[in-house]
Amino acid sequence: MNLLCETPSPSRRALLAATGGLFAWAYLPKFARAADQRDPRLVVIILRGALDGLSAVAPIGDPDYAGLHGQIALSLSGDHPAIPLDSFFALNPAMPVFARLYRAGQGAVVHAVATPYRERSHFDGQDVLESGFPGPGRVGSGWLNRAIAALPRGAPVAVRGGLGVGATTPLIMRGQAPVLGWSPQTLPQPTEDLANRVLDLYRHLDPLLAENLMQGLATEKIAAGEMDKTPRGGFATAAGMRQAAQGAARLIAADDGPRVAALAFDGWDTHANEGGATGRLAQLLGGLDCALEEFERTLAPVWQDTAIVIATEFGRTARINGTVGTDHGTATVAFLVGGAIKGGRMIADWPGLKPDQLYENRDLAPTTDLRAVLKGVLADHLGLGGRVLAESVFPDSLAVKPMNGVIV
Amino acid sequence: MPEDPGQFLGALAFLGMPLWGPPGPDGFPDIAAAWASPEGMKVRLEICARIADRWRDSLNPLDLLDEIAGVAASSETRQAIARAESKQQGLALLLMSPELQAPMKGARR
Repeated sequence: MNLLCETPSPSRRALLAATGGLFAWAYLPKFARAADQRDPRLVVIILRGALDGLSAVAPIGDPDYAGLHGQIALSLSGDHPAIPLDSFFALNPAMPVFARLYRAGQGAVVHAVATPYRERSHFDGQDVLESGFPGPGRVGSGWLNRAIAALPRGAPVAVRGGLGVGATTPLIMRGQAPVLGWSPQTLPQPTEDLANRVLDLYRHLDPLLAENLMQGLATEKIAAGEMDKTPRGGFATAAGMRQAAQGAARLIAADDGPRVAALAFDGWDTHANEGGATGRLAQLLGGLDCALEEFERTLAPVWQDTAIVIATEFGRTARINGTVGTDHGTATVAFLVGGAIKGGRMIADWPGLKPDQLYENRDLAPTTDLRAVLKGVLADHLGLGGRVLAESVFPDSLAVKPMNGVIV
Repeated sequence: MPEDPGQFLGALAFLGMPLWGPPGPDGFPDIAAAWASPEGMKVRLEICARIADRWRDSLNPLDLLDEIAGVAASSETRQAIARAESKQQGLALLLMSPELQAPMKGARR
């Protein structure tokens, strides 16, 4: 049990409501599961806001890293030393669960990875990440849904469809294949980040609104005080992430439940006071780590056939900015976790961090196409063919070959 | 008319303006202390965040800003929305923007 994790009170009603939706699946014909037929589970977690890959998995061995990341750079010494993954890379200490799974051969990190998107808009970047198209094309379906839809009729994954976590299904899971929707019971509360952005806007435009909102928030904080230990939901808190993971895991663990789940966690847009081994980003990474622990625990009976992919729309600048944060960048990390992952290794063609090695002299340069990783998972875990992957799941991606050997 | 008016009526009551329920015959007060109280602003932020969560990424906040405010939108608001980390956060910022929260130039303060 990770002590950093808060345990949410189980929201029984929410779970009952959600499992009620499973009746629909119960009416579908059941397929005898042959002993040799795998019944894989696939979870995709999207980190909205662009994760700083250099602070999540730091290239400690790169001579230019510490200088670029300045006071938030991770290090192997100090009060909160980073956890070495190999002789070159070290993990943010906020992720002990991932570190354990990595050592057990059930976690891998892909570094210097990026989608084909090269601009810096969150909306468009997330659109590309989730739609699976080479550009922001305003298409109404996501690659994960199209992957399910492309499976042969009768395959367990195709029969049971997908799970979309959240008030509305994330784009990645929208499409023709059947999708079960589920949302944790607690409604997401406004995050501190949103409040700060609204306050900042008011300070520029309407000081009265700024003053009053600030007072209202301060009053609330005092009133809640130490009692404020209850999970407030929202996908940008450790409790909220754990809660979402727990519900999703129970649903896909169920015999007749969906086999593929999509979740989205918010809050990764760390322009200011990002922190390093501790601080804002570390708290979010800790929340993500809690979610992984929850999946591992709840999916224990099917863990050997489980693959979890964690990806974000793009990375952040290699150099920290004037507010001790990082701005929108390009390449970053993706995490692969689960009993089905051939883990215990870093997958990286490291581009280096010298000025002329950085993308546009500012970002970690991409050397791996995220679609290659995703294709590798879909091919070896769900059994999708290269042609389908290149045409309907990730359109116009024939040149991007599936990564081999991602799955055990 | 929304399909389920209940949630909107509930939110209006929460915000201190129950439908057809002003505190006196002269209607709801229009002084700033009443329509922009600290508690009221906090509740508005919560409600806007919830509405934005429901809409999530089904609407593009920048398109919506153009539709609602057009050229009247300030560059600050436009920039804040464009820099939002998700469409959801952008929608919450749009709903909380001064353009939507304090549009009455002549309102008494």
